Amino acid sequence: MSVNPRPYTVMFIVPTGIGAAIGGYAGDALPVAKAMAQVADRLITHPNVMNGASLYWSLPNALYVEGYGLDQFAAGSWGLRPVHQNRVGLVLDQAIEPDLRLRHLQVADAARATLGLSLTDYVVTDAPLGVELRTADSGATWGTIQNPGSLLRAVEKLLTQAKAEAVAIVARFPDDPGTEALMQYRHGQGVDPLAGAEAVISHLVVRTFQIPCAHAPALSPLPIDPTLSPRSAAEELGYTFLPCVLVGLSRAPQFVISREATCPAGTIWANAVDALVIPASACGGSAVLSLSQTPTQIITVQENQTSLNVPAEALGIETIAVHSYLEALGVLVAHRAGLNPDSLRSQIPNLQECLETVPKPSFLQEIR
Amino acid sequence: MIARFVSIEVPLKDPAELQRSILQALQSQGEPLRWAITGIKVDKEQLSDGAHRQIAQIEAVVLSPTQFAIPFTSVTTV
Repeated sequence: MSVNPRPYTVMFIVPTGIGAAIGGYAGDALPVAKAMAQVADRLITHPNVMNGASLYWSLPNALYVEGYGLDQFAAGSWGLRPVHQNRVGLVLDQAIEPDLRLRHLQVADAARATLGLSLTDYVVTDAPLGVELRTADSGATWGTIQNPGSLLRAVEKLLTQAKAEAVAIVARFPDDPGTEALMQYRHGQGVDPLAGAEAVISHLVVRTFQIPCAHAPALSPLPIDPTLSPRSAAEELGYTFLPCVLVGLSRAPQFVISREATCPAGTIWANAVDALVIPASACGGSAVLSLSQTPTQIITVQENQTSLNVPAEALGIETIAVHSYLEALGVLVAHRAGLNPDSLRSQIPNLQECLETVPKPSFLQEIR
Repeated sequence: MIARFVSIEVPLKDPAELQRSILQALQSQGEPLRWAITGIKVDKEQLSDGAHRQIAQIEAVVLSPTQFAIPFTSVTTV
């Protein structure tokens, strides 16, 4: 596709648990990722974008990187080593009821038989994980687990005894079928009440073991809803959310922690990222702050509204602001082609003499 | 080890300094696991030149080694 020896690399982030209009539901940013993968040589993205429960789309040039690892990568601390396949281990929360546990094990067996994935034997945690959900003042969902030690012991067993190279976690989440938050979510509105706790679980594992990891919640099936939103529908097709996680992890890149001579050839570092695409109101994440200090072109998308109001300009971050992902795709094509996107507009202002250093944005606000 | 939710406030600075300040402030409460700036507000307190500082509001989950930590802490301005 390209004669330029530098692969055009795009990072695409839709933070989880902030009610993103596109990507805040059941893998509903996946069509955007598929389009971006057509204009990029490499797409670096994360489970919230790629996971649609029973639905998934394995993109050959996409790197599936969990959020903690993505932040470390963007900060230049960790590299990404692409792989052909990982042996995926499965951790099941002891709190999962026997029938529901069996459903998950059958999904894992199906992934082996139907998709040909490599899975290790599974581990059940030595105590219930105790997932607790929380919505913060900002509207973002967070959450914690009561027994992080039990989770870490289970993962360690998978890595040392079963020789897993990536880990899928299934934790029992509280069933709240009557809550307003869940009703809104099923109708494609509001914030995913589970997302924040899911991210904390996978962050804990990636931080501790530096291996690819992703999470699927175990929940009882919901009563059928004829008004279900298409954006949320992927999560109501089956008994589990696990298939997409197994597929994503089966080819997720391994993390490289050292930049020394032993660093494997082909490792990708943050300085390879040409462009970062994020929702315009969610610029306060660690990866965005890190890449804002590099030559990476940051593109903010207005249409993908979230529950937050943290725009790039308030943080002193320079971006190209666009209305939609369709427009963002155009900017990526222009950027890849070496064009200034403004040259494609009808009005091109004349150059001005450079007189003074452009003042940095002030973080003080004058009140008149 | 426990995982707990915290919210803190840090004066707005340029991105590199801001990131350092946030991590430093969170590390005083535990090991940062997940965090984000979730809001920006103007400080009510007026500076000597009449201007007001802008404040980044951060929400986070941190890991603490102790079993005796308070589960949910209040806002701390750093």
